[in-house]
Amino acid sequence: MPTDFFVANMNWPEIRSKYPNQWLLLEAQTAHSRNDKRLLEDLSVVDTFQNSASALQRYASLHHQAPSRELYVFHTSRDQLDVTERLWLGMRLTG
Amino acid sequence: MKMHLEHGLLFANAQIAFLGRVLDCNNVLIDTGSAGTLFSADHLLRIGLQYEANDRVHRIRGVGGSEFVFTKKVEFLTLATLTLSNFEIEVGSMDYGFDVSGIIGTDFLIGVGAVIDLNRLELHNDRLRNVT
Repeated sequence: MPTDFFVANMNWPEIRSKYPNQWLLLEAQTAHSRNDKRLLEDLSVVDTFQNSASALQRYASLHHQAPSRELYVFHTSRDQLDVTERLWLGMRLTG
Repeated sequence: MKMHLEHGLLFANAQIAFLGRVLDCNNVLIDTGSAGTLFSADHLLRIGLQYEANDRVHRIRGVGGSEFVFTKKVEFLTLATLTLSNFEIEVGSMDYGFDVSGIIGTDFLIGVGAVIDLNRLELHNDRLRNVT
C-alpha cells in the first residue's frame, strides 16, 4: 500500500507519472457528472496490483464493505479517464 | 425459449462466446428496466475474458451508490434462438446479494427484436413465430 494513502489526492496525469505501468484501485475524491460522462478530477490511490483480476477482486470486496465509496480500477498506461455514466435503479424482488 | 420465475423476476439461460470459448450462464435476469447488458466478471474469467488496460469503462449509478464496470465486445451473446454477434457487454462484480450471473437489458432485447410472452413465460422473436 502506498505510504501517502491518506494524504495524496492527485489528478490522473500526476498518478500516471508516479505509478507507471500498473493496475490501480482508485477512489474518486472530487468528481462531477455531465452529459452522461463522469469527470474524475481528484483521485486517491487505494492500492497497486500486478494484474487486473486481483485489482477487480479487491474492488469487489471493498465495494461490498463500503458501497458509497466511488471506486475504480484503471491501468496507468491509459491516456485519459473516459467514464460513461448510466442509471440503473436495480432489482426489486419478492420474498 | 422458456423463462423461469424467481422471486417474481424473469430468468433465462444464455451463452456467451469470447475468443472461441463458450460460457453457459444459467441464471440471467431479463430486465426491461436496464438499458445495458451486464455480466459477472468472475464468471467470464472462466473463459479467459479479462479487464484490459484500454477497455472502455462505465459507471452505473443507482440507489445507494454506484458501480464500476468495463465493457467488452463478445463474439456472440445467445438466448436460444435470439443471438447478436460482436455485441458489447458490460462486465462487473455484480454484488447484489442475489444469485445472478448476468442481466439482459434493452440493448440486447431490442437488438434481437425479442417478444417477451408473460402468459407462456417464453422468449422468442416474431420472425420465428411467423415461420411456425
